[in-house]
Amino acid sequence: MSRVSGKALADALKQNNSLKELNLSNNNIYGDLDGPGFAEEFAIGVSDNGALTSLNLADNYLWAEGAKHVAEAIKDHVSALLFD
Amino acid sequence: MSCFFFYHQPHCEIPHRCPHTHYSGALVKLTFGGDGTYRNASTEWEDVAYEPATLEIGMKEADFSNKNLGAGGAIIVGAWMSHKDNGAMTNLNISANKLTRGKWTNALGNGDPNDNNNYETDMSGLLQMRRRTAANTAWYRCYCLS
Repeated sequence: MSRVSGKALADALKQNNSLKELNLSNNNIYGDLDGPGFAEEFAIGVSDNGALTSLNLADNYLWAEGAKHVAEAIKDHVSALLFD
Repeated sequence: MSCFFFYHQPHCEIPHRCPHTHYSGALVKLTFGGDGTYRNASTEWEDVAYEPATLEIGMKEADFSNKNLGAGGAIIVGAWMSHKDNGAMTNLNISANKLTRGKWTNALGNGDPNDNNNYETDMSGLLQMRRRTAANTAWYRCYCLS
């Protein structure tokens, strides 16, 4: 997956407030090719999406570089809690 | 009573998870890893795919041993423990994951993905995990060997 496809997916996520689960497993997000670019763009989309609760990135060889972008998305996608 | 704020805000004096909470509009489950295969001695050295790891908010124990998570996996676990876990996790087994294994280089030229010499050494994940888990005061046990 490339930076372009990551940006496209991020744009979709930014405008979507209903998608709760997203499975991107086994999609060749190789971290040593254009994977970091995909991960960087995609992470921005995840950060800006308030509805996503479950994300599957398994079997994508993110490597450290791609994982750093995922980590940033985790950091920014702070858990909001409802206290009853 | 009904109020809405982040768990870690200082005016919440509850040290761990509030029993009357639920999450709204935030990532509560993340699956990662599962990259590659290994040769399993118990199945006549057949190639077996590594199982992915799943982090969920509120997990108290996790066994991520032998999942080939590498440096990237350590980075993700560190970020999760720092920003999502809120001190819930008390037992984490992340052993046998080659946490310092970096990018594929095929330095030996033999194309063997199970040979550590065919990868860069990458300490960033382990260091990040160390930094980020240092703030977690709920740790009871963590296996991070190898």
